[in-house]
Amino acid sequence: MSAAVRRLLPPALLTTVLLVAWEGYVRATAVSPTILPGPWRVLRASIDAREVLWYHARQTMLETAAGFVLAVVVAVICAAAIDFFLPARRALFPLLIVSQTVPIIAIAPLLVLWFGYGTLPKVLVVALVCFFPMVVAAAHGLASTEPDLTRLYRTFGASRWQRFVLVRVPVALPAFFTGAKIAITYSVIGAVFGEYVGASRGLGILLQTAKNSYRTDLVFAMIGVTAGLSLALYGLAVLLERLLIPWARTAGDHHAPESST
Amino acid sequence: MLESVTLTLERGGFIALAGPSGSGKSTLLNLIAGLEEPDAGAVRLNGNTARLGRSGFMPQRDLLHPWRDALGNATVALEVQGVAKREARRRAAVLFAEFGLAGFERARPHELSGGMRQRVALARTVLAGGDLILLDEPFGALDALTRAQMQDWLLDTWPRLNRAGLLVTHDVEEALLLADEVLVLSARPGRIVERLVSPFARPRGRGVTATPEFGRLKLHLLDALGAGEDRPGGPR
Repeated sequence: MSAAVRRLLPPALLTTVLLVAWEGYVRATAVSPTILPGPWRVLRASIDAREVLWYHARQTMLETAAGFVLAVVVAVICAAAIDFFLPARRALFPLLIVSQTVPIIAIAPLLVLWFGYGTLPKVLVVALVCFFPMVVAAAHGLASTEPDLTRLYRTFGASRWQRFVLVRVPVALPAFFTGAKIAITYSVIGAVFGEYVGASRGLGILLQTAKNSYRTDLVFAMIGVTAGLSLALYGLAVLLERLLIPWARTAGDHHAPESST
Repeated sequence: MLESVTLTLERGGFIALAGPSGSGKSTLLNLIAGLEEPDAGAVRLNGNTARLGRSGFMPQRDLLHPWRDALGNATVALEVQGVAKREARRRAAVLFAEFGLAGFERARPHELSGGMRQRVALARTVLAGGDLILLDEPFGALDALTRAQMQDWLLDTWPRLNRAGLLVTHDVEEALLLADEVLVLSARPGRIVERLVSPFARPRGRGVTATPEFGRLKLHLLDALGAGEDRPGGPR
């Protein structure tokens, strides 16, 4: 209990100090709320607009979830192919790297052009930004299997598939989760960006209308909602990790660096 | 790497293979296990050249999986062979009782001592089946005290397992203590330069190491080992 307090107190304190400083600055300088609204105003605007926010957030969550699941499926298939066939590794890796150098700003409008204003292009943007860290992490995790383990299983008469399922996959899981946790912090932003370039519903399009009508408080409200969603998804990934691979914690806790675009 | 090496192993028998590093003793184990194929000649196990999955291989490191409990680690080979999980765990539990691991079936590897981990690894090796057990410096990674305890334990347990054993070691004393026959392999190209049939009857205890006979044979084996190695200062 006291350990939890000691861990939570510093971030809570720092956040409070920052919020108070922000509010103090806004009040002291009487800056126009269309330029910079204070946190109190943002909170009130969020509560007032909660139904609109929730309506659009649901769409963003749906796209995020669908895109992330698609990314996991594709990443697992690619990582397995890379692990099984050397030619697949040679063929896929350059493409994977190139896929990361293409700016999402260029891709997202194209996807809208090809697939319309519906859900699909957003799902694809989310999948695109999420799948790379997961493929790399999963392929790396699979390849980190010790040769001695492979030899041991060969003496058991294990087939390649058995070695993959019984050894390589469990060995790779901690690395895969690290990649998934990095990916999940990108996912919500991917969905919002996909909506921003053209959508009928979602936090991204709400963000655009709010910005265009100088509702800066709503823009901040959406930043809050987006951050909250990302954090919740990250927490979910950590929870899943603890449930599915409890052994990884005893072998040293490694946390993925939190990052955002 | 290796020149004509002829070995005959019998059920219940235990042969130790001692040699300097680089003499190819691990290569020999790999050949027998089927992990490698000889450049010339043939390796047969019960008259069969297909050897993978037909002997138990025990590596130096225990290589236990952190994601399985102790019993689950012992059953992996059985699962590979298609034995139902329930039946595999039942068989492993019998062996656990015999190996002094009762009560630790559900323990995770990191909760076990080095000696216990090694015993789980041996249980896994025994359950892998086959009449032959290949031990590749199985106690090499243990501290001196645990190593002595494991040797005593193996000396006591081995006859009950009713398998043929081939132990690779660089420790002459370990070879003499555990084996019925000690073979000394020369440096590259490895060939057998000495065969010594143990005069110590079973059941045998650590007491034999204190006899003059043991000391004499140990010196003799060390000599044979030295003859297979470049002596310091000698021609290269």
